[in-house]
Parts: sequence; C-alpha cells; structure tokens
Amino acid sequence: MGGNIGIEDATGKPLLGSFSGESSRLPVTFEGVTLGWVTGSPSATAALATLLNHFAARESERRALAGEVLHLYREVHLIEQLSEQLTALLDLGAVGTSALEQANRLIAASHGGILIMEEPGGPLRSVACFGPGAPLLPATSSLAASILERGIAEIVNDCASDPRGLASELSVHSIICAPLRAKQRTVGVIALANTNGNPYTTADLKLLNTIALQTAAAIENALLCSEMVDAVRDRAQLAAIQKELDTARTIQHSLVPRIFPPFPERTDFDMHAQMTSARAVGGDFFDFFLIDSDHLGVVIGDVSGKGIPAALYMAVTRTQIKTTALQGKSPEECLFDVNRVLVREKVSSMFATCFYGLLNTRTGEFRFCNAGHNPPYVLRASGELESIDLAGGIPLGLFEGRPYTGGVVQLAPNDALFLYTDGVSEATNNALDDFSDERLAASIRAAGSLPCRDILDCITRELLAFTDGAPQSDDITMLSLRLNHRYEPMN
Amino acid sequence: MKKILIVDDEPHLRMLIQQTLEELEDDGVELLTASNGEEALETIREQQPNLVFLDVMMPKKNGFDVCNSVKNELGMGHIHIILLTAKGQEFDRQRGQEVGADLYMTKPFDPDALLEKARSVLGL
Repeated sequence: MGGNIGIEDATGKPLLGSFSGESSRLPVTFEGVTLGWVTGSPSATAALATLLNHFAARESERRALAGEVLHLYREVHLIEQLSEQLTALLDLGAVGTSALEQANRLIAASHGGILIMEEPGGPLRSVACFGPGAPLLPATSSLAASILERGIAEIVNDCASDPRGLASELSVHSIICAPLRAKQRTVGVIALANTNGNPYTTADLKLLNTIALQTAAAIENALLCSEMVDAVRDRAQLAAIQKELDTARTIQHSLVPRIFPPFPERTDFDMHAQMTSARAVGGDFFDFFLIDSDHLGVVIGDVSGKGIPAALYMAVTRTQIKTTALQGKSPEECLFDVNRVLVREKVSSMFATCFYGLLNTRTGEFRFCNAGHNPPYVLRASGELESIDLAGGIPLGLFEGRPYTGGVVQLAPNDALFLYTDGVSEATNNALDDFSDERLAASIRAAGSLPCRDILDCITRELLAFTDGAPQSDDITMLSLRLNHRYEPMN
Repeated sequence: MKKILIVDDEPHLRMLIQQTLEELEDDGVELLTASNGEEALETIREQQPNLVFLDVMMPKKNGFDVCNSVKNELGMGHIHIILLTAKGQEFDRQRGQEVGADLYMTKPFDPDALLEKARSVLGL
C-alpha cells in the first residue's frame, strides 16, 4: 500500500501502513460497531474501506447463518432425543412429563400441560403439567375442546381479548396448543403458555406440531400397552378361576364312589353308576352303602345351582344322608332329619333334590323316599317299565318340619332299578330339543336285561347320538341296580 | 488466554461446534480450528490449547493417533481431549482409553451438553 494508505483500530492506533498528503478517513464496521479506520488518499481509502466492509458483512452473514443452523441443529437434536425417550416410555404420566420438558427446551413457556382422551368421545384428563398455580388446562377447557374438534393447532397471543372468553379459564397471556394426533384419532392436546407478553410465532407452532406427533404416537403406545396389561391380568385371573373349578370338579368326583363293582363278593345284586360333569362344576351326586349284610342304601341327588358352592353343598348333603342312613333309619326318617340339618345350616338359597332307597337284598323289598327328585324307574324282568312316582316330600334344605312320606316296591329277581338326574332327561341337542322322559323310557326298555354297566353304556350312547355334539349344560348322572337271586320271603 | 481447539474434517460440523462455543469468547476463550489430524497436531504444538474436541474418523491422521501423540509422545498430558464419534459407528472405548482420551461424546451432539462440558473443563 506504500505511503498512500493506512489502517487504524477503533481508537485510532495505527495497525498497518501509513499515509501522507491529502487524506481521507473511512470506517470499517461490523454489525453496527466500528472495528477500525482506513486512512489515506481518497481513492485508495474508498476502495480498501469498501473491500474491508464487504468482508465484515460476509462474516456477519456467515455468523448469522451459523447461528440459524445451530438453532435448527438444536431443534433436530432435541426432537430426536424426545423421540428416543418416548419410545422407551410406556407410562402415560412419564410420556407427558418428558414431552413437556423437551418442548419447553425448544419453546419458551412459563406453563405447560397435556390432556388426553383414553377412549374416543371419553372425558379429557390431565397427565402432565408444569408452571406455578393451577394446571394450565382444566379438563373442561373450551380451548382444548376446540382444538380436539378441529384437529388443528392454534396460537392465541392475547387471551384477554379472545372472543371465546379464554381469559376466564386461563391465567396466561399467550398460549400455543396442538392436537395429539395418532393415526386417525386425536388422543389429546398439548399446550404451552406464557404469562409475560412474549408472543408465539408460526415457527413455534410448527415445532409444537412436530413434538405433538411424537408424543401422540407414544401416548397411543402407552394406552395400547395398558390395555394389553389389563388383558393379560384378566386372562391370568380367568386361568386361576378355571384352575379352581378344575380342582372343585376333581373334589366333586372324588366324593362319589368310583370303584365298580363296589361289592365284588356280592353276587346277589348287580350295580353300576356314572356321573359325567358339565363344563362348570355341577351339584349332582350319588352314593350307595351296605347298612348291614341285607340292606343296601342307594342315593341320587342334584343340588340347585352350579360351581363351587353347589359342589360344597353336595358334599355336605351326601355326608349327612350317609351318616343318618347308617343309623338304620327308614328313608323318610332319614330325609326328614337331613332336611332339618340343612335348613338349620342354610346357605343362601341352595337346596337339593334327592332320592334315597333302601333295598332288602334278601327279600327284594325296596323302601324309598323322594325329596323332589326325578322319579326312578323299575324295569321288570318281563320288560315292563314302571315309574316310582309316589309322593315323598319337598327338596332338602328349603323348609323345616315338612313331612316326608315313604314308599315301597317289591322287586323280583332280575328286576332292575334305574335312578337318574335331570341332566339325562333334559339333555338338549343343537335344536334345543330335550332328550325327554319318553326317549329315556324307550332307551331303558331297549337295554332290556343287560348287565347294569351295559344299561348305562347303552343309554349314554343314545344320549350322545341325540345331542350330536351340542354342549353339555348339566351333569349327567345315572345309577342302575338289579336284584339277581330269588329272594327268600320274610316269615 | 484459554484456548479450545475444534478438530473435524467436516466444515459444517466445525462451524456448528464453533457456533455452540462462541459465547465462551465473551469469557476470553479463543476458539481454534483444524480440519485434519496433522493440522491438529501442529496447532496443538504451537498453541497448546486447554481443551480439544477431536473427531475420530479423519483423513491423514485419525483422532486416536492424534490423541496418542499428544498424551503419550509430546508430553502434553494436561491437555484435556474429548473424542467425538458419530452415533451408530462402533466406537472402540478401550482404544480411546488406551490412548489417554479424557472423554468421548457422540455426534450428532447435544449443543447444551457440549457447552456445559467446555465450561466445566475450563473452570468457567
């Protein structure tokens, strides 16, 4: 630059070159601040000052651009961080808190809040908020309702003059609110607000919309997860109940005789029984026992209701009958006594129908009493079928003191008894027709003089053919007893 | 005067880190830059910065080699070195430890965390 030009700092201290002769002095500025001076001949000074000011302006632009890029970089980073955080969260409260924290790092706010709607059309509830005083958005917020309905984000920079009267529900100056849209559904709203006068911009709105998208997806995930947890819990509870029912059914079956023939040394009678439980635990039961060498007791019954209570009531009833019968009482005395015990131990509104018969295996005399149970059949050796349809009494466990009347039939050798529960006659097919007393009677006749086990097998086959795969709704219980030898008259 | 050296072969990342740390200039911190490993070593020898943000994957000399030279060969163990490694690229932590790096951070970096770390190292 020779001796025609020089550069000074802002204070006038020479930094470079020198000048002489006619002089000119021009400033070099950077963002409004004078960095220094160019001095020298007017033409050289003007050229160099223009060049240096151009460089300064370029640097200013570069800095502004770098600042803008850094701002965007920070936004992208925070949104990425939010995305990562939200993916790992399955709790609604944690999702809301995390979303508000990150949103507040990007958008200045004194208050923030998230309301969600767990089911379409359901009520809104707050899952997260920050800021002093009451939560930013009440669940009944008209702004939130409006955002939800329109599905579009909104800025209100002067709540006090908003025509919807937002001032009454919000104690802030400006608010920015966006819908939380997941797939086709809006699951809630997110809002940030300021109590100072700083307005929100469309850039803020765009940013909040981006955060809202991430948040909505995380909220939907959390809701789905919650539903799945509930479903698993329900399934686990169902499995536990099913296990209890299975246990109850096992107990129920263990309470009735299972070994046949029950008295292998006794050739003077033949007997078989079977019980097929419905899916739910039912209350059917049967029993038989020798009171002495000449007297065989047989019992069949059905407790009202199903499930574990019915099974327990059945167990009590069966035990009471056997205990009382073994005292040698007549069937009517026995059922009278058992009824009294059950009424006094009354459990809810449960009761049991029951038939108790006492066979003198030597004479063929069969004494019995029927407490409201299906009347048994006698299949004579001749093929004739008789229903033992005599009066007995009311079912056990209902009212105390009612009389029970006994009956008697005489069995001849090869005559058979058939006892059953209503699960047999009322078994239904897919057209919901009953197997019926008539079909049962025909089946018993058809079984003729077969051994007792075969009679029950035959009837079971008939039942299965009739029901044709329709679900079994009640326990099916049958007992068959045949007198084999010629009895000896009592005299 | 405290000095920070920013070493990255990608100009836009150098610019971003510089912009992030710009406010430290008000505290009298000088920001220096280098665009490869060799240039970084030369600047470190001449300027002896207090803190170096050092990219790992660079041409000529990678970050591990630069760090190893500074910490173990040039006797400048007092210079705080933070390795910068791209997220998603497998980073050999053990190697970073062996060459004496003080810390490593992932890119894309969190500007606030980067600034906070620089302040903490420089005691500002």
